[in-house]
Amino acid sequence: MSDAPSRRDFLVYSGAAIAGVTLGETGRRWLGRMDERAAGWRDRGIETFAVSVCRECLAGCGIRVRLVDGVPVKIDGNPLCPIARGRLCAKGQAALESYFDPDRLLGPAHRIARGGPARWEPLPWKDAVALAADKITRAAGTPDGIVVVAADERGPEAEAWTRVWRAAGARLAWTPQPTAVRLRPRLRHLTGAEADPIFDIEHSSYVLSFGAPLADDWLSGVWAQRSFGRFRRGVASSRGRLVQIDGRRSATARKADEWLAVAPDQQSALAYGIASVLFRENRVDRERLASVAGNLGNFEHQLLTYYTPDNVASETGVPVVTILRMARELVATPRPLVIVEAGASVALVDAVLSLNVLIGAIDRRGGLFGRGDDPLPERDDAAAVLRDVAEGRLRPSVLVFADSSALRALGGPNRPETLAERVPFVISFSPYVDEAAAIADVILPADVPLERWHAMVPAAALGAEVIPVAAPAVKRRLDTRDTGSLLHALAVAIGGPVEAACSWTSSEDLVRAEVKRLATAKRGTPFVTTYETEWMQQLESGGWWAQAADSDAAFSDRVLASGGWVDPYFDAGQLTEALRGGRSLSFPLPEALPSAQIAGRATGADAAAEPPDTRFPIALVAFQPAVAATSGNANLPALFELLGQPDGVPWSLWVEIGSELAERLGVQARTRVRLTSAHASLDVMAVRVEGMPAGVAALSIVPGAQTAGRWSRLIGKDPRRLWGNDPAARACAVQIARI
Amino acid sequence: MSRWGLVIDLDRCTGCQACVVACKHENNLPFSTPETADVGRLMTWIQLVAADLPGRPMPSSLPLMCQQCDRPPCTDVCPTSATYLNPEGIVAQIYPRCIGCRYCTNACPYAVKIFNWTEPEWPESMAGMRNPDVSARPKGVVEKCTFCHHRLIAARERARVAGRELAPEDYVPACVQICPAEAMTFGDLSDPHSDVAALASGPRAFRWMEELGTQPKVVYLREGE
Amino acid sequence: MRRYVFPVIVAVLVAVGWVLVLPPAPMAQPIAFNHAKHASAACVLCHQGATTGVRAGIPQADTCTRCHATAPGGKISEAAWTGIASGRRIAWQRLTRLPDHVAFSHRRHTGPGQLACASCHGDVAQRTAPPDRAPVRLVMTTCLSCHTREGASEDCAGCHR
Repeated sequence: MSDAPSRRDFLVYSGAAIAGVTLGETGRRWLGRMDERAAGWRDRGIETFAVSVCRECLAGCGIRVRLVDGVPVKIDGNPLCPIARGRLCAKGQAALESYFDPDRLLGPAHRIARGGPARWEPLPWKDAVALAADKITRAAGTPDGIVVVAADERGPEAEAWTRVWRAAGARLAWTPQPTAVRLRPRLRHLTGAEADPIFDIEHSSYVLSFGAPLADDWLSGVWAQRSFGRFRRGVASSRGRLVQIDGRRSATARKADEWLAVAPDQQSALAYGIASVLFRENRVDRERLASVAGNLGNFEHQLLTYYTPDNVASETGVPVVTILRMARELVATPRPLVIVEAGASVALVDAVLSLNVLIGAIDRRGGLFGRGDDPLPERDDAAAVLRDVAEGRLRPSVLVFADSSALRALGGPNRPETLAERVPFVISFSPYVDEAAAIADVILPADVPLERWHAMVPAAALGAEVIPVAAPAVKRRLDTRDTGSLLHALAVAIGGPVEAACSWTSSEDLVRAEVKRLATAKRGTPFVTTYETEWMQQLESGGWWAQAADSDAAFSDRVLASGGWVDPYFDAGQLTEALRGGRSLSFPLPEALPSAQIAGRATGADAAAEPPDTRFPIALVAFQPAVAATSGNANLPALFELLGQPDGVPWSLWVEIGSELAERLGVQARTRVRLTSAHASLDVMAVRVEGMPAGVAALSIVPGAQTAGRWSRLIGKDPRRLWGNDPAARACAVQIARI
Repeated sequence: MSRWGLVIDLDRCTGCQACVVACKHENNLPFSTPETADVGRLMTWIQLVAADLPGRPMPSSLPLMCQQCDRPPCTDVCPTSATYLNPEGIVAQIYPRCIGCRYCTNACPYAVKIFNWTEPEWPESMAGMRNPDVSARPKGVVEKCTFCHHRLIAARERARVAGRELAPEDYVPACVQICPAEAMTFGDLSDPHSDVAALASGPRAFRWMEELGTQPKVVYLREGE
Repeated sequence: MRRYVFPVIVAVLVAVGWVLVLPPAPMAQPIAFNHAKHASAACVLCHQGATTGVRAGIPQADTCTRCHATAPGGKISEAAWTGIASGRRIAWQRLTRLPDHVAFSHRRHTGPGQLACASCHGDVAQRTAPPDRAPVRLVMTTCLSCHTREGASEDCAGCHR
């Protein structure tokens, strides 16, 4: 080998150098481009705010969306909205993630191959609507025809929904509003008043709560939270005391001054027990009650006979002294109030409403009011209807879902797939890959809330009448449609009377018509500040009904810009009036406590009456953590991080067990246990709860969290399988073992 | 000079965690997974923790974030001065200076300084969701609550441009703004007329782990009478 | 085999050296914009956020078409102009960039701070052709020297976010 480089070497190395330079230059330019891309492109970073309405539950809070260059980056409460007053709950904020959800449906789709794993193919809108319309037309003649399921949202869109489906001959079923389930019908039964119950928590001095999730999302989440805060530390009042009667240590039980662990089915006995003590100790105003209540004597007799503290103590396990103390505490402060969970049993709601009458809480500051309304139409409960379908008692040819709310209700069918097996054709309007989509044959995705036009009647909680109204806050991100145009397209495709019933072409038409109606009402105002709203209430109470002299167009603009319309007028004497004017108050006559059972329990012979299954000794009850119980999208990662906090089990389901059982199983922090029922088994994290009764365990259920998308799938199996095909509303017998 | 402070009334707080989500969205905190959460690497600047407080029948939920100590243990141990107490009492964290040694996460008795074990990532569709006022912290640095300091900068700028003094309502952190139970009050502790100053010197006020002498500027109001 | 190893190593070394030693690649703009010709108008006429927003912003066609009815002579083809005028995005390359962890607001510096655009952007207004890289290289010392001189806040958290 010579020292001088050969000609060949020279060529090779120069070639290598040139290659190196070319490569380097390409790399340098590529890096420059990457750098530019990494810096991101925000146009001018211009910040704007748009009002909209939260639709994650039925509370109808006004929201304010912060947009940067037209892209939403954060959701806050609308400061002018009388419901939200500038505040918002965790679920409402998470709607931002719904808009950006990477697993949302891109557009209309239809299922290829029924049964087996779901596979969809995109379909143009025209074909998708035609396919749905064809099935609907054919189904119209069949015996059980069409069943249509939706959350009971009220307002112009819901009315349009009803009109179209009525015209198509469908049977409508609804996931009921919280107050409509029990509270309103039982209040009518008690007082004769056609009114929504309004609980003035904020001004009460003592709240006795029978399972009401006051610190969570009771009736209307943000309202409940605000009421709780002000009840505790009002500006000019003393601290309110809260006693929570709850089957498990809920968030409210944790915040309460006292928590009594009493199972939901025993709570009505406790409520009547407290009432009987009030009678026995002459702590009720008999004269005043006798003037309004026809059957006071019977009621008192019934209570004093059957609901003696001793009987109630042996039924509920609450000591006699505690029952006596509860009753005395209840009337010891100036403005006590008794509240109850919205979905509680008829007996419990009756007992609670009667207690409020006894303590004089009706139409009293810090008490229970009624807000007058038109009579509610009788509405079928969707969960019950779907159960009928799942069990073959009802055989519709087409099943239509506006959303998945009915499939998430604890009393609904545990296995949505059985619906798909029973019904030949399923249509879903939900924009998410949720439980309804999982069984749908054709999906016609509607817009997500931030993209929608809004005008709705919120769940009843405030005295004022509020209608949140808003135009879309953001541009539509995917190929979806608003509900109004969807119904219109469907109606046109079906033709005949259905088309004739459809007097609109889009949701915008529906909302604008609603705003026009409000303009002609000549009362109320577009959302204004809290101060101005209160001022208006003063004026209206004094008989001054004036509306700002606006043209209809200006009024409409103001309503849309402020986020809604409010009429603060509130008749605080509605229930009393109903009692005075109409029939007298009729107390429910509670059934006698099964005395044999009481005697049996007292002597410890209970076991003979109801032999417990030794294999499954523990009664498992299900509950839905409020932070994750949305009616819309279930694929919201920020919410899954909140699960189980502060006991430290985010992103997972957990079972709460009493300290005795925990001791036996050796449960420490982060111990996993296996729950086994007759139907299935499930591994979950166990959380030890001091004060939880022995023989009972509470399992968290995150509805919809198994199908919706990448984050929801991380939550794991649907625990409702433990209940088999039985709805998870009832307790289920399980065995718990440490893994 | 202002001394920013936060008062949390535990009697009003319901533990609803609206503040946790507000903070998450405001400050571009990436999502976690069951695995990361399981090993205690949840990315949150504010979190509910169970705390045994005197006079309560069961553990309370305490919303816990950086306590913005006046004598912060974390700044003493930082070898690069990436974390320091700024003149307005906010314990700042300067990410480009942070070398990720995690001395401060160990020194913090509240365990509220969190380390970025992974690159912050969002699905492509969520790229637009990030707040442009706040950076995304890279892998390998420690981050924490800043009392939404970016909001202070923006509010001060707005006030300067409008030619007026900063008003108390101009600057409110995201958690305080969202709190549906109205349990949080924010403001200038050095202003004797401010709500926070009045509440912080009230009979119910206490500081979490105050026996350590960290002198937090997050003040809790205890539950009960 | 060994015959190829050394040439490949040389090629890689040259490539790496090229990237490391040379300044960042020049940025080519999609349109040969002449700042000098437009400089009689205030900068803020096109960079609309310069006094009112966080970002000054780089104008898009809707800004151009407020003055230009037709394609500006000679600099841009008629076809490209129609595309742009009909709303197609102009893919400007941003030259002056700040890292993600810096909080900078134009409004604060041009308003209360009373800075001229040239203090950070140099002579870009006099350029007849688009510069291929930022006329002034901005590093933290650039910011700090001015903050010290003017008595502005030197708190790290004031700009680092």
